[in-house]
Amino acid sequence: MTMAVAVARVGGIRRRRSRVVTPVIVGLFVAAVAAVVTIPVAIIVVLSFQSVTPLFKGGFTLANFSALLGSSTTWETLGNTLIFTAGGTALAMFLGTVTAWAMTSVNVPLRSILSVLPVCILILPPLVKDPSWIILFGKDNGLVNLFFHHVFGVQGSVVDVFTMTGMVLMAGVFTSPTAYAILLTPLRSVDRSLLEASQMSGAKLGRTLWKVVLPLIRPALLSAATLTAILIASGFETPVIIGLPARINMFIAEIYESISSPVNGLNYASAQASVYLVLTTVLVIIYLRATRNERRFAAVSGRGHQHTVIQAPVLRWVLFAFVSIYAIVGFLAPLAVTVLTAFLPYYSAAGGKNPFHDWTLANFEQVFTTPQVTSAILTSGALAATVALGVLVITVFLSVVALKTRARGRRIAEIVGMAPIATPALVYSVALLMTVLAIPGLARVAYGTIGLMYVAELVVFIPVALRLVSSSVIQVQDELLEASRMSGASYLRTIMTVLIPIIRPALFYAGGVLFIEAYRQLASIVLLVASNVTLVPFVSWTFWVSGGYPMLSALNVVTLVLPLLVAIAAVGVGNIGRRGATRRPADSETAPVITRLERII
Amino acid sequence: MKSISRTVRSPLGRGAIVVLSMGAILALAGCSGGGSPSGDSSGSDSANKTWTSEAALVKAAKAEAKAGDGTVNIYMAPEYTPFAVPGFEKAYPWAKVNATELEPVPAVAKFSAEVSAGFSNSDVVFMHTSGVQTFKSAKAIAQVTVPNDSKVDPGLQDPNHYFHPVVELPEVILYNTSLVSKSDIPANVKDLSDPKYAGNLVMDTPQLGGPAGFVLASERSSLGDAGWKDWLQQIENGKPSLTGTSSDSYASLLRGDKSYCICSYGDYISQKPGTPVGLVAYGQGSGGNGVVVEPIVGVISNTAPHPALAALFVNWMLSADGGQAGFVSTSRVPVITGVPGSDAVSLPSGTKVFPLVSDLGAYITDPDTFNSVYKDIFK
Repeated sequence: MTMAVAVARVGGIRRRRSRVVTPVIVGLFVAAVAAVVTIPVAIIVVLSFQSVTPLFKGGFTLANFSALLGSSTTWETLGNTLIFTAGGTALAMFLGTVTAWAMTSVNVPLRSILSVLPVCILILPPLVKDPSWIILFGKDNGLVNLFFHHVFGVQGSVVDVFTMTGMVLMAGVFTSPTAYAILLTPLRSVDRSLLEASQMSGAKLGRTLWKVVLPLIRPALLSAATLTAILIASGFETPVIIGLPARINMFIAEIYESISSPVNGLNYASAQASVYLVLTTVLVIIYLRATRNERRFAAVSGRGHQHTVIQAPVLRWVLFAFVSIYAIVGFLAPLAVTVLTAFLPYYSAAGGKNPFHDWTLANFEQVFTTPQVTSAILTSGALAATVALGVLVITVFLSVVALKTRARGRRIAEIVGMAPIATPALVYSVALLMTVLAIPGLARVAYGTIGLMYVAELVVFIPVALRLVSSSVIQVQDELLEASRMSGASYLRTIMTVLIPIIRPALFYAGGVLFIEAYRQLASIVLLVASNVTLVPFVSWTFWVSGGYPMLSALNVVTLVLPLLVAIAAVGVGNIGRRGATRRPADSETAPVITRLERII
Repeated sequence: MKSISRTVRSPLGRGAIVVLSMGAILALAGCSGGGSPSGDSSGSDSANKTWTSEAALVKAAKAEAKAGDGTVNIYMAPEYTPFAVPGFEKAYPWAKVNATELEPVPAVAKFSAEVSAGFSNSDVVFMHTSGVQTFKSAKAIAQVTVPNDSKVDPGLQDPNHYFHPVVELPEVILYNTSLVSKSDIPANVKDLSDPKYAGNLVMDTPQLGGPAGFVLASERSSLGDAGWKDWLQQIENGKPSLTGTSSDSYASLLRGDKSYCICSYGDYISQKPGTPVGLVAYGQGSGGNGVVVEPIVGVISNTAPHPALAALFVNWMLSADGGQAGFVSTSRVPVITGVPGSDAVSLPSGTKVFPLVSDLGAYITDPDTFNSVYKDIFK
């Protein structure tokens, strides 16, 4: 009794202190993130109303918008972007959702292997994905068309990547891993009792999925759709490598072209970016409105929670085939093309000839005798690891503030986290550069430092991580966190001992995705890169311009090893955490958390 | 003959120019150290210098290094830094290079931001010639003559010494030997409008300012403006495949997607033996204007924190060692003669070279006019 009173007093003092201190700390943190995110974006908006680049010089004008909106090219490229984005998003969502459901909820054969492959798609850099798809699905000399021609005597092209359909397929396949990663944890968190109740009521599997499962994961679906749509609309490589030869111009390619122009390009590009900002902000608002009652979607609760895997004798093989084909087209075939061409002196299928001959190790000799390859891998790896860790810390914090507190204006944290996604990475890079140069004294301290690169990457990746993490945080019922708080645990301890263990698989996935994206990312730091720093994308470019595709392939084979290991480790550790949880006597994912809660209490 | 010193509109505004000019004066007062030019100083800006002897330049750079941190800040494409940086530091062990790896286009964007803000960080920036005029108009780059400028091919030299070509990128016509018979090889660039090449040509998008932009612009002076636009339209009627870079064009040609390309000579000479790609150095054919050579140039900032070291770096890039550093890793052609091994990467003997600065001056000083024509035609 005495002990209980003492504990209650200590808990009461802690709660009173935290009522004062915590909101201040939270407010300062969110404000700091908001400043880093929004000031550069605001500068871009200001620049869009100027005719010359220096901020607040030369007066304001609507000339940039007048020229932009009066151009038929703008409307044509916006129309193309809309088709490309809508088609790619629909395909990415279909592939990501079906695959995530198959990997979490059906007894598909070889699930532990297949579940890694979609994440592996992410490790393919643009200079692997796009050229390899051209080699596979090119109109005249693509390997698939050559196969149909030689084996079945088909004349003409069966597939052609240089079309809008080809671009949509490409965007859908290569963006789907993001949807997959977002949906994995929510689908794994769907309680068996809900499915059983539906089936007991006479509903068949399809109806149960449509009426029970999909509504339960609606926030995650909206997150995934929003994110994939914006990623596709912002993606630069496919519009340039495939779109330009296909004469299908995209809005983002126009922005990059403007930035490249030395004559007032930045102001016009800022106007273009502002139009883009309006469109993406609309998407974000739609998402925020649709998920404003997010607590309704909490699915992971206390001891009663249990996930189930459907035993489906026929469906498991159908899904096995589906996921296998998806993995082949999205990862294994591009990887195989990359590995095979790495052993060629050149790649040519001109006139339908066999391109695979005269095998050589010369390309690998070149890679291993180029000293900057090792330093580039180490530097990019260190940068990516640091960025991934930093982004995870920030996004867990923002997610908790936005989704697990009742503070007034808590959704500002989510809006702040989503804001950077409205700006393409290169545009944000330019904006951050201008910000540092515009603030007196800051340039002398920060300009040309590695710190600025970190800031840029942290900000650019916050939205990606926020979507990956928040969809899992939503699923955790408030009662668990409230029980910890009621027992006297601080916010930090509650997060570390209750929340983090539950969302650990999602954190590993998010960490893996962030590492891979940061490892190959260049657009956000190309203008901010510090002196005497060599990164993998720079070495890739050098190999591309000086040695052609086979030498680049050899480099890619070597540099892909690190992100591939990270991807496997992220998924593997996440799965171990999940299996460890389900082996508990309570057969519950939350059993270890409950144990910790009991210890706290 | 069109001069490249023609003035175009300034994107930076009068205020920025005033700030820049003041910045230049302050930078020189604070950072020039003991580096005094041995020759005369020309031009209105105090950053403008003529270095007539290498010994004097080295002496000034040494003094500058001693007074400061001994570094020179360069913005250079990543394909050159692995050789240029250690090469320079080996030649001048008392100097250090802070190399920021930037392709020419982002280098222009970054330097432009610095100039706009009146912030001086870079000493030497390497870029395409299409970026030079903007900075020249803004008085952001200095007129500096270094001793080795005299070694540069006269056809590439900037008579006003705002830019210093360090490597040259000859732009040629390549064809896939598996797809093209000898009788179908074009003799020169003009031939590419022939309907028999329709559907078989690939080139980088001209308005992006790469090889195709240069090569197509080179025909304007001989065809006249109206004839030139007609000629461009005839090429467009053949629906050429347009790519983002000349490396993409070369890859498309080699795969066999197309039979002909306007490509960089560097792609041709770095090929492995047996590669089914042939060369048309069209200066040798009848009726050709000569092979267009696009230079990568170095410019020295008017507010360079280390102006003498900057000049020394440019001078070294124009030496035999620097020339080797420029092409060893990338199959680029040095702009000076007498570089050991340069025969392997130079154009075939006797190839006619298009007089770049004199006849492509309009494209260099006003690329936007050309680009708007390209954009209208190659939609």
